[in-house]
Amino acid sequence: MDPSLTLNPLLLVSGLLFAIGLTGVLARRNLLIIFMCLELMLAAGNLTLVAFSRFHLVDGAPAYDAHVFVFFVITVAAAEVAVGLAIIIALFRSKKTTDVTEVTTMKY
Amino acid sequence: ARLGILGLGVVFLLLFAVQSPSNAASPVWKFYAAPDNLSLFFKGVALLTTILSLVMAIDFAPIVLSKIAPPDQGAHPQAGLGEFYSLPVFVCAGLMWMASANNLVSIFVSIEVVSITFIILAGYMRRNVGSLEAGVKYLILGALSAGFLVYGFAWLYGITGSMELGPITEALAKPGVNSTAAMFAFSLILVSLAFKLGAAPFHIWVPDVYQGAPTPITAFLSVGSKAGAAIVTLRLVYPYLTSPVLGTKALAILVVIAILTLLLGNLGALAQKNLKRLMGYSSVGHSGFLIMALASTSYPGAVNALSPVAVFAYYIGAYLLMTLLVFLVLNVLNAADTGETLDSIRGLAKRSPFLAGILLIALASLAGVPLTTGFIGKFLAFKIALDAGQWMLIAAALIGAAAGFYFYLKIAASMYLDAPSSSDGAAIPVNLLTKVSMVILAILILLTGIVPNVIVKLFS
Amino acid sequence: MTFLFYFFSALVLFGGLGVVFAKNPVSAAFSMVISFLGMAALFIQLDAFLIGVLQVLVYAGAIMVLFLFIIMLLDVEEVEKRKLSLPTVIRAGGVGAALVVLISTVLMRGGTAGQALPKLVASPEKSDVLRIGELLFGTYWLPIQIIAVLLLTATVGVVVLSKRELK
Repeated sequence: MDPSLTLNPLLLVSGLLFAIGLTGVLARRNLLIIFMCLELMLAAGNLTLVAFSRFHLVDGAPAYDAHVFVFFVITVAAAEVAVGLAIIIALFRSKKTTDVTEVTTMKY
Repeated sequence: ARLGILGLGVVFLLLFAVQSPSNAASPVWKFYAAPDNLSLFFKGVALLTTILSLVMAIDFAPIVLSKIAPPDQGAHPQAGLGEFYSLPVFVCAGLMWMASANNLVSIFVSIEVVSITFIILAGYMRRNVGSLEAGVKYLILGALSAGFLVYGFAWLYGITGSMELGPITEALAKPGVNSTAAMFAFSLILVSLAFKLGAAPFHIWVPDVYQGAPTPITAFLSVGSKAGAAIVTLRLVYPYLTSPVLGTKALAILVVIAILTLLLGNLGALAQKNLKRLMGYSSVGHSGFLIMALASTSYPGAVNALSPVAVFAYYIGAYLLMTLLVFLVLNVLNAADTGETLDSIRGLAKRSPFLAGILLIALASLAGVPLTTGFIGKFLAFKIALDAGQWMLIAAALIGAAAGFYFYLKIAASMYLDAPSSSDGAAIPVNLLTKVSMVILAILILLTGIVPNVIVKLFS
Repeated sequence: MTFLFYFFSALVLFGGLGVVFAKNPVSAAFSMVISFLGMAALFIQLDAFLIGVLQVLVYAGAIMVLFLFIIMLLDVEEVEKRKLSLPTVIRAGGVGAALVVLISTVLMRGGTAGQALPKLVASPEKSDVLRIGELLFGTYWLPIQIIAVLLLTATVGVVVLSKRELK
């Protein structure tokens, strides 16, 4: 492990990743890619958690609370992907499109 | 479904029997806040909402059925309904965990249980495109709010170094806390909770999902997930408000959101035709009042008689009664396939006076007509806002309430005054169970309107 | 050693950008896999071995495979042919840039700046997986139950939503 690694660059990297994910969600129109960017944002959260836990030493070892949280975030993300894709398939089967702009039949 | 209701009823009774365990501090209870009155009250709210939405689900069944498995394919008549009744029970479990979670991990996990199950429920009627759209929209925004929540919690954990809410409050109260990062975490978490509450800048999804989802689910969503998000907001905002360093900044953000929500919610409702969309905007308006109650938590400096938490919980109780009653009536209308638009209920009074009467009580209470629980809720919110001296907030609330009067009573007027639009004057059939629950709710609204301390006693 | 760190974070960031600007979903999925692998390497570098392996196994392995499977199943034709409409991209870019600026200001002013890497105990007696396992099933027993319920409802939901005709 190199001694020169500090916390800040790590937080910057995960912050950038979060921002990329957010822009992706807002900019893209294809449902699948939006969904991928959402997973990216969750992963960025994980990275920050691990970074913080590495720099908060509890009696010599990284505080593992954050690792448990990351473990749960991964499980939740997996469940979310399963349900999300099920809905996207159902939508695709009934409307033949994954483009968000067509999914706006409800107005007044 | 009846079994579901029975089960929940028993749990509801048990709820009152639970006393705080002898050693609340033992590690086993680390996650479960010692069941103080507040979490017990919110569990009661969750249970009541689930029972009522199951009642609605029963008469909504024929429509759901027609949307899932068209009979021509010889599907078994009860196919697909089993899940429709059982999933709300899981959501109720999630809500109850949420009510008493005091650790970041269990808060996050229980919120996810609720939001993922709601995605399924919203998009349940696969054949009808509207419901699928509601599901997709709720999915995207649910996942977005989860992303912000994780990121906010990560920063919160980073600053305070612990997952428990207790130590977090102390860590934030210390003067040395680095305020920029703390405020950054606060705003991230607030963004995520604003999605769930349907607060101002993030309420675009509310009308669409409310309209698309099946009616019992819309009711459940509007009350259950809002109450759950409310209790979590209360728990997460509390450390920020009490810490001297961050108190003022946090308060300012809350005030801004409250003003935005009040205005956008109520004004948005004015131009609505579809009743469910209108209820969506009304729920945004009401969450505006909720945040107003939260925002006028005068920080340690000023002291006021009525603790904002009491007002907050009271308002949710009142909100629960009124909205569920409206949805009960809407659901019956919907089940009888008279559509959801405004003109579908014109002249309802002549067709089925019972329904019209019930709807009138609910609408009056939503608008805040005196003698109803809605009035008391709004009155309390105004009172503590006055104590905390938030003038801007009160102005916005007044506009919101005025707009509220207009569009709620517009419906009431169209029910009574205009002639029935549809030619068949047949009274709309209402089955016994729904009728009983409607009457109970109506009585409760009037009762708590006259003697408000029924609810206040529950959780003070 | 820090070269490795920069290399992996570059991998992560370019993978992320690849997802946003990919022409078709398949290449987006692949660039996401790259990003997740880079992230797993970062985790390993931060001595979070279990999380690193989990990241590869669950994220890169299961979720991406699911995505690819769905993309293949739906054979999403090239819907993205027409250029991304400018206004939305600019707005989204704006939000992203604002967030980046916000994050960097928080980092500059925040107290987290100079924290050098604290010395890790040479060889902790219990391995990190054992510790997390203890923690997971010891103190965090309640969230495990909640997760079980969550996975149950997710599976029920998927079945309900996607079965052709419900028996």
